Amino acid sequence: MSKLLDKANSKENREAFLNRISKKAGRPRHQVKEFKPLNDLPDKVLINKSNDELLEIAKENSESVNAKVIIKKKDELAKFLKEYIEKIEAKKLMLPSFGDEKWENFHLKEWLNNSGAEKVDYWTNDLSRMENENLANDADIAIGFADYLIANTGTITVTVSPEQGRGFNFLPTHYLALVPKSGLVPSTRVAVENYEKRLGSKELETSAINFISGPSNSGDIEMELVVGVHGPLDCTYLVVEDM
Amino acid sequence: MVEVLERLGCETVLPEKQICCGQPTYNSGYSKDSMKTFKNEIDALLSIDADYIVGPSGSCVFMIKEYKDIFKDDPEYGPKAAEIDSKIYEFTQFIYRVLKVVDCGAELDAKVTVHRSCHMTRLIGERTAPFVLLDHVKDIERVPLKNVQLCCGFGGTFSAKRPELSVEMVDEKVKNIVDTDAEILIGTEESCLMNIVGRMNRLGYKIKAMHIAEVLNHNVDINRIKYIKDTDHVVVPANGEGVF
Amino acid sequence: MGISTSDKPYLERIEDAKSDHFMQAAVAKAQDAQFIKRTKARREMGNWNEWRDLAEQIRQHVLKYLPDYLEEFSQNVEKQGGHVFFAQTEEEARNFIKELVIEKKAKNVVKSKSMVTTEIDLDKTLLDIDGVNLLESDLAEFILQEDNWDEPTHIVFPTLHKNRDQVQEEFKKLGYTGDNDPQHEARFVRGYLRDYFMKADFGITGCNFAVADKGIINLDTNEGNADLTMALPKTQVVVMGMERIVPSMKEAEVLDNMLARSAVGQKLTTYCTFSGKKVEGEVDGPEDFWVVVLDNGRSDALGTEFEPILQCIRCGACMNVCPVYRHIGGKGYGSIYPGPLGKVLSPILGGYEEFEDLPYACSLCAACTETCPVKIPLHNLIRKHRIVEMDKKHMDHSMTNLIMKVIGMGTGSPFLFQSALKMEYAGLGMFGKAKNDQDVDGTIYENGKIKKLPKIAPKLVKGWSDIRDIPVPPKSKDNFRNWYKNHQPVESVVSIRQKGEKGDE
Repeated sequence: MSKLLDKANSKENREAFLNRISKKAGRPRHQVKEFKPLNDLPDKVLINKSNDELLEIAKENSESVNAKVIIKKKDELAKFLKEYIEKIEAKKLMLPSFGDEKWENFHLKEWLNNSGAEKVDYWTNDLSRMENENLANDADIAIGFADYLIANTGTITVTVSPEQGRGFNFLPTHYLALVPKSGLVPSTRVAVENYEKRLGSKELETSAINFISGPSNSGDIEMELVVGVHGPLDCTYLVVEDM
Repeated sequence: MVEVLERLGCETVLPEKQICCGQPTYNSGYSKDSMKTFKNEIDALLSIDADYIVGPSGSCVFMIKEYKDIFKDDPEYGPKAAEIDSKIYEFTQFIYRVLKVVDCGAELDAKVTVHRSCHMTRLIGERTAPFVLLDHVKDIERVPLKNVQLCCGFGGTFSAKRPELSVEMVDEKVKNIVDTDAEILIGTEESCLMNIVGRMNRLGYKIKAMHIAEVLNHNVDINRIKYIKDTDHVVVPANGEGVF
Repeated sequence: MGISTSDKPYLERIEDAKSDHFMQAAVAKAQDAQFIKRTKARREMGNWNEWRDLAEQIRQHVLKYLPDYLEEFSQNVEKQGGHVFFAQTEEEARNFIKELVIEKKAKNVVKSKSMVTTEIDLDKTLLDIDGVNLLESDLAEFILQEDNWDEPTHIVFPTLHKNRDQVQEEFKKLGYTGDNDPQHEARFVRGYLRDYFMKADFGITGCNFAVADKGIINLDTNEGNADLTMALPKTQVVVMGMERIVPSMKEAEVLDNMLARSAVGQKLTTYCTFSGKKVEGEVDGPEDFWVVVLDNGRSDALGTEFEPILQCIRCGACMNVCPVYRHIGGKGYGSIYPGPLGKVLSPILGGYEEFEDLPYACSLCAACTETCPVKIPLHNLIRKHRIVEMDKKHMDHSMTNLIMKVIGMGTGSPFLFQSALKMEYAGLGMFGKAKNDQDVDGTIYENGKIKKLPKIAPKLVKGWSDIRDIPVPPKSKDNFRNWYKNHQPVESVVSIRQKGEKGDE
């Protein structure tokens, strides 16, 4: 390693920088006090809504960001997914490599063998990084799991895991995420608080949490909205009503 | 303004030594050269034991309100500036919110449009009072002005120091005014009107301009004057229009 | 070059901008469209001003304890096995990243949109390395790259000055055969960019917010290019301005909501991601995670009256409401940071000598101050720059300087002012004053207005009269002070009503 690169993480580099800016600011270091917000607006977003009202709001907000929201019961999922794959003519399907228990929970264990796709690949650390990325890039659709559906913004949240990696959520042409209705939350605040708890207790270990609101888009050419610039061309939230 | 205020029962006094709020120099960066002006203005305004201070320009009024920040560390002028801040109002704000008058009894049979003052709406935060008062003027037809939120390009010395920018801004403003088909342009700020009218004259548009005080003093029937409490008018908050 | 985008002097830049009518129309259209979207998004949020109070509080809190939060953040990055380098100058930052690219033997560098990497001129540095390819993956930045590294003109919409036909022409060079429909253009470029992404081995991103207590970063994009940049290459370098930090994810979440509503009128950007170094067992993501924290002049604002500019979250709302930006677009500013933000930040980062004109290119209408989601008093800071330039640096030696000093004297002294009032009307004689109201033809007057002044008129007056008529000031006997002295008070409604009430008794 060169001398310059060695400076990263060195105490000298950090201390010199921080002492210098502290002096310029005219404020000594190590005085930090806990941040106490002057109001609790973030905690109050959609606070008094019932679950059914929240779902309605979530639907409306999701549709306004071009995400499709479909609400099904566990027993209807297999049939719906098979028909959906056939409808969009997806040949290559990519799935996360979660164990049987998770699929059984969603009543989708059987569906795995009769998904409607010609080819099914799994995102898994049994394969190399490049193999996973190439499979995801080739896949017509990825069907994965999301944790929360945020009513106020029409957002789903996904955490990266060995079974469902970053490329899984961004490379395939179409994207569908299953989200249990119990994951319906009013606001980004509630979702973030839950994540902070789970990260703090080590129940969750992840390198990335994605808040996804609809398909990839851009307004860079004359501010005209175009959909599907980098990530998936469309985005479907499949809400499982009885979970 | 004086006549409107007197008609509404105010005794007015013009302090002998009162000159200028100091914006031309201060906003141009000459803060040191402005101090004498500020102090003269403070002393002049306090030379009379007035209950209220009222000005026909939101911009000047806000400059005077800013004295309290400029002199916050000055033991002599700090408290004086704070006292002034507590009793100074822009003209329409004073009529609507202090005198609680909704109809000044004026009449103006014309199609008009209104240019807002940036400093009055954004810095003083009063975006409602002039519209309420105008809408109570008898026979007036008010047409909304497109992109009313855009500055007319006056900006004090900006208009003279940066004419290459100012002309673009005032031209767009003139176009929007002409497009309303109004006969009269009403403003709450003499300086904006001077800028817009100066440009309209140069371009050959014959649209008349009036300061809102002139409108509220036009063909007044004193029996038409109405206080808020005499009507079913619900007081609209200063930020009522809620434009960001 | 740093933040500077042009070698041309100020007036030349303005004239260039004013002659670009497509750009002017595009900016006006964009401003009007954003006005509606932004206003709607903020209204829906409710209590907008209280949200602003909270956002301001978060930003001010962080700035107050900036060294402490940077220390906490860097320790948490290190704990995960990442690396943090603190760069005082742009040279340090780009040399560091250059050495890292060489060290990692990277071939295909991919970047996602980042103003701070534009600020440090990173692209050019990396392209100078033998055998290194570089791709800007944000659609707008890619369009700029393909147009021979054109400069951005807006911090959120960098290609606001380009139209669909220009994009079509550029893409033709890459093999595009379609029409000028943005949807088709974007779909074409998707494939082109994806192919590159799949072979990218070194990713560079910016950072919307660095989360101190987790050692992770938070990025907001609509395209998803930042997420691919963080997924596919094995090495990721994050370049962040040192002020871009928050205590925890909760504060980031508040600012993400404010940012999206202010920048693009959305409730949240399509992708809002919290990301750090790849965790053991995961398949993709950065195995090597580096953060470069950049000062580059920001600390010159710390502890000064300009400190609030560091609250900025780069939403661009101030340029979307600015009436000057509306007419000159981004290029007129000559800085990668245009608009009101640029007028305040450019002299701090790039120096007063280079950007002395910017603080004066402003009518102080305060639209920026009013829209700012983190409550930066932008117009006031612009005015403070003027005070620094005039009172501290004495940068104006023209006639204007003298005029201002005379005005200061005149308006500060009742005696001088009264004398001046008497002189003012008479003083116009030197420009050929009309003798009576009819005597206007053939003079500089028309309809009682002064049309055009001779060249000898002082610069300020000429600046006014070149584009508009000057109203003739009232004669001394007609001015307000004299009118007031002589006027009779009008009949008062209060006394009438009081009389009426008494009469009823």
